[in-house]
Amino acid sequence: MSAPRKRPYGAILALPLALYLAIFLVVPFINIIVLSFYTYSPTRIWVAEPTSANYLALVDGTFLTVLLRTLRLGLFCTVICALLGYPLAYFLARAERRIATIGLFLLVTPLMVSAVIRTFGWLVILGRRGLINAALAAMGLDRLPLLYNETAVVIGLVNVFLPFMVLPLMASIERIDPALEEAARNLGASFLGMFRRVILPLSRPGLISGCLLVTSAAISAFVIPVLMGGARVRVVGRLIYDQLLISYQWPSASAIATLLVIATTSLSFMALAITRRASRQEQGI
Amino acid sequence: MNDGAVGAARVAELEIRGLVRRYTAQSVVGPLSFSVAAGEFVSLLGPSGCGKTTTLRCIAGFETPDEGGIFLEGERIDRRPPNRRNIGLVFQSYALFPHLTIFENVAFGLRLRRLGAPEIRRRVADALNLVGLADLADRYPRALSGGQQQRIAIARSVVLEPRILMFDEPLSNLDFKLRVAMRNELRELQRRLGKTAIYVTHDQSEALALSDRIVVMSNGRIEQIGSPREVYERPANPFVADFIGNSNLLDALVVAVAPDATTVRTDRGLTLRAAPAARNAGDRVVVMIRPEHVRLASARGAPGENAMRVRVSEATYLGQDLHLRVVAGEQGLTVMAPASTLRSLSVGDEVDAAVAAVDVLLLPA
Repeated sequence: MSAPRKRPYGAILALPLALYLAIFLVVPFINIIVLSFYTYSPTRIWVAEPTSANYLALVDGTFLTVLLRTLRLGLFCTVICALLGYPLAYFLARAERRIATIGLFLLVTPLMVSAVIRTFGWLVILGRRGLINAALAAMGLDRLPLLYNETAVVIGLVNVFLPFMVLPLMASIERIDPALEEAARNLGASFLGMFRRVILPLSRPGLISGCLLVTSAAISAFVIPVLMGGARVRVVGRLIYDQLLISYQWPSASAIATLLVIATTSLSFMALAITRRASRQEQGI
Repeated sequence: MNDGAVGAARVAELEIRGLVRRYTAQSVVGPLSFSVAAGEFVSLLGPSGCGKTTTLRCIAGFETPDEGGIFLEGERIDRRPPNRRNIGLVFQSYALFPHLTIFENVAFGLRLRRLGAPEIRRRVADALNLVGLADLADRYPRALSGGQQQRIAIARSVVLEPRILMFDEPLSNLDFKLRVAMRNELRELQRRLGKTAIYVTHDQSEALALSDRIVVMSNGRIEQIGSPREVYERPANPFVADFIGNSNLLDALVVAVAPDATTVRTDRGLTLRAAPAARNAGDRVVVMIRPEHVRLASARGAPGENAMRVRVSEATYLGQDLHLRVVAGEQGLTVMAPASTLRSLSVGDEVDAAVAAVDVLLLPA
């Protein structure tokens, strides 16, 4: 009865943030979209003549190479996050409260550390004279190139975006009645068999939204690919940066940025829709 | 229904030997020992927290006993993973897989055993026929009523032909009428299959109706093991007397011992003759009298043994029965009398009452 009346208050409470986002996010973004249809000018950066040339020009080799690399990194990052995240999410979902709280804290610590410091940490571990290579050398093995390549970028991305996979997965697994696991075991399933036949299908909404969140975060990442991938691993974010600040190709940079934002927001909306539908189905609606 | 002696004489299918499960220093289940014969229906009955569910979970393999062993046909199973025990369990919440159809729910264990598709189809169909729900094979669990889900849960276990079938409070989520109907159905099914069954419940009427033997538990210990008749008519102690059925439990002192009868006086001053018992004068005892064993004098009836004059202090009409609180001198008693055979009684009425000496039981204090 009181639910419909609550809404206006909710809207008022959301107003400050909505205003903030409108001024500092929506307006600039509209600006970017507009700019992406303007014509590049070597002397004035852009002139207000509508054109689709900025988009059409992207169909050349460089952009597609960068785009494919970005998607590939995003895919690897997502798959590794899913593989690492599932056992962790299961453990946290079934752990007792106190342990789950500590685990969650540890899980999100990478998000609380500045990107520069975190990356410096990775340099210490992955560098030519870093921990891993020092250990390999001590064992008489060859050093591995672990930094300034795609492997390094994937390691860095997984480190930061793992929580985006674990949190929705954990929420999904927590909602699965533990009696279902016991029923499966009782009917003859090994632990892994139970996991595959019960946990996996029933937590699929969490997995899908986790994958979409990680992918959208990974393909729009900028700092990690730049710091850990170096000049050779150019991703879409880096391309936008170069176009904007090095080549002064603002309309072209805007076109790439627009495409990237469309890609990531649609992934996020899909994640949201899947989560919503799953929780509606659970309530039997 | 078998009584305890017959049950014990049969081959033990399942044996629990000295099982102990420790949670904290205060919360310990066991040591428990009992056995279940092949084809027998045994209930673990007790209030919540008595250890009956822990015992069941140890047998199923979801918990590991800290001490003692569990033997299935002489083979020790308490360290085996739950999927290698061949003991079916029907869960309180039914625990049907919501993402699978009824057919796939029942086929779940068969698929794990890698049986061929035709055999799976045949056995699932048989199991669904057994519980009378063959037409629901393509539905999902959420489309089924509680009673139907319950039957599917049973079919899902039975289809694997487990050694033992266990039930964890299977009827507690059903409404009263359905509960009674399912109870009869369960019993009939268990008899037809000849399966050994272990049934966990806090509901004494379920335990009495279903079981060959009842293991009455409280505070992690076994209070009594016996046939329904034994635990009801010869409770081993005041706990069992109070938990199974209703009882008048009166603190009393043995005042005289004779070959034909034992005489006791309750602390509230009521003197009663009880059947001969191995007691000595001066022993503290608890006198137990079932409410239905206190006979009130109807128009025609003359009182018998232990005649007393009682005054009605409370009367509740329950349709079939009349539930009364009466006072005999200082001693209050609860009386259950068939409403039809009794003239109308109201609070304040005085009436003659009697209790046969054989119905006055002396329990350890």
